[in-house]
Amino acid sequence: MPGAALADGVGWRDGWCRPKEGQTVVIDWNEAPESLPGVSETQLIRCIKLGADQTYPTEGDSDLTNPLESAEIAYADPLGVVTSIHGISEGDGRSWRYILGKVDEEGGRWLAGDEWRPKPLVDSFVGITLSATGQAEPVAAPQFDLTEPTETPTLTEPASPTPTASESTSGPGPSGSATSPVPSASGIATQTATPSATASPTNTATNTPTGGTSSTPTATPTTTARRTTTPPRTRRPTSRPTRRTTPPRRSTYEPQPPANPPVPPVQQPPPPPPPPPVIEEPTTGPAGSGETTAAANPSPSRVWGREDVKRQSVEPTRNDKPAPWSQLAAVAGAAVVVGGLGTAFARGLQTSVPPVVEDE
Amino acid sequence: MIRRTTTLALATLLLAAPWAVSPAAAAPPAQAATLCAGSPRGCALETNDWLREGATFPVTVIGNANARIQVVVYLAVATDGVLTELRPISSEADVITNTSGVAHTDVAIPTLGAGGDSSGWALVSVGGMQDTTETLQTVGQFVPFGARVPLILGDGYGDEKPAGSVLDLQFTGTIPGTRFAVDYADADGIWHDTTATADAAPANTTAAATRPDAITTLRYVVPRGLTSTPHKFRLRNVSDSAISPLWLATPTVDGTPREPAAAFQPPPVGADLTGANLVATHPEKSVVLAAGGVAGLALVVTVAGAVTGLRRRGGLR
Repeated sequence: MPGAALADGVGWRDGWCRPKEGQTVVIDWNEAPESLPGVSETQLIRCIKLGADQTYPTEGDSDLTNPLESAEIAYADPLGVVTSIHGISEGDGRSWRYILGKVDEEGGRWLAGDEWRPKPLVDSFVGITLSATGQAEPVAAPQFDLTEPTETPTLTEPASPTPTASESTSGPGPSGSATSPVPSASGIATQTATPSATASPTNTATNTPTGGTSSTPTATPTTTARRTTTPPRTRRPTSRPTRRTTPPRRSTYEPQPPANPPVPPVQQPPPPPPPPPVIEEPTTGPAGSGETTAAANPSPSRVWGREDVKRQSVEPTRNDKPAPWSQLAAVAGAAVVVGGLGTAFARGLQTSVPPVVEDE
Repeated sequence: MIRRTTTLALATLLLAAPWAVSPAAAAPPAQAATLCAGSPRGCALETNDWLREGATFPVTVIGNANARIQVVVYLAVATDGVLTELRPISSEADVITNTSGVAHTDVAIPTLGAGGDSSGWALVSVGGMQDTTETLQTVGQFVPFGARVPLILGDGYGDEKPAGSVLDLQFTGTIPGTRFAVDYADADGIWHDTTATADAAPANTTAAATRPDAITTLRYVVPRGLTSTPHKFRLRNVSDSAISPLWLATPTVDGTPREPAAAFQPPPVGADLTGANLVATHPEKSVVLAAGGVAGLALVVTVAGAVTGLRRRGGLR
């Protein structure tokens, strides 16, 4: 669900925070994955936008519930103890455990230690895990969302009609604000164009969004410099410098997904930060020449496979270690058996010798 | 008398057997020598059952008193099951052991970069190790290590895979609780999820990943109707948005079978270092050996004592 703007642009949204945006709250229940029927995900990630004053937008009863209130996550804390979050109650020996995390130049990590109470610091992470172990951390490590923002800080999350509505209101304004919708316009298109730029075949395949962005020659240098390809000039007759045209949106528009959705998207997700485009190039096999330019094969034969194919189950080649106590039990049992047999043997040797009667 | 001495000799042998130490070799790393040389109770580094990137773990150092060392976690990078590199991945952790020779510290392991070459094991040891053969001469242990991008072992087929059939992709070195999906790229380069779903067959339900040293299996389908050319596949970490290196697969009717690769088995650590306790997280072998030794000793004493007593009393000739 889209984030709700409270005041001055503070609020929350789904997904990881971007750098300098606020605090990320990660709710993780992977130890009890069936807690929410019908939901296959086991985590909930929301970004609480923190303003300059670094206080929580909405405060709860305690510092433990401040981030839950600000991210509008349902919770229950009778008597001050948080027992239920997002509709999942503690039980089976598991309870909700807090941990703080951070990301620095070395990477992201959850910090086990004495500091676990959340504080409204920008670029901080709060992990709340349903677990039976002491200081449990969420499965996902702390990370930033490094994709292009799709909105200016003063706008709410763009549902489909809002960007055009905001552009029309800020269009006639001074030139400073006239350029502000432009980054968002090219921003949205850039977001879908960036993954295509890293995967080489799609540059030729998806040319419509790049055509749309090229209709804005007054785009800020940073957004155009980020693109690695120079798209062709638009052929749309109604293109205007400060306003994006609707035809490209209609053909290529899809509901803007959150930056890093927990549910795997069906097509063309934005690439996550860690893997650089280097990974895209595999080292084995023929260079991916058979992908887009299938025009090289005039009529490629498609493979359908066998109809009655069974699932191939491959046994893992490595044996799991046997339980350590089974060896000990075997040795102890053998010792008992042998010791008993030995004693019986010794007893058996003891023939019943009648006491020597000494005849006097 | 003779039997008593024989029994005593036998007992000594049995008691000493579990703690036999192989002879020392060449020079160990300087910090390992500082911690271990002449240590009255041996030396060891103890930590959790398994580690993962992106978290913090407690480490206990045991050895000489007032010894200053660095605790470093090295990622074991292996090719085809052979250790090729020990790469330091933890943040700095300097400790000084107290007068009892014990120190505790928390070691943070940040997220690795692009990754993808984790073998599923990490070495917890002292700083200053360079040569991968030094594992025999240093103190510490190999611990299962979970990474966001696991080590892919294989799915039972080579570069050509049967179209339309459900394959079991095996991988290891996972963070417990992680969920994965397999994507393939179609002719336009758009990624599609091709994990076998439970809707297709109840046997396809995919559990979350388990311990880093266990093998996780994920069922995926090579889609029907693709051209018989190499297509890109990748393993995606759903929980953490990390992506594995790509592999190419060509859909054919039958595919060419190939055994999955064997995972890396870590060598023993500190076998050549005098004073190093060969401590695994659970000391199974030494406990079993000690129990066996005590049991054997008890048996011999019982039988010998019974036989001796019988002979004294004239039961045996």
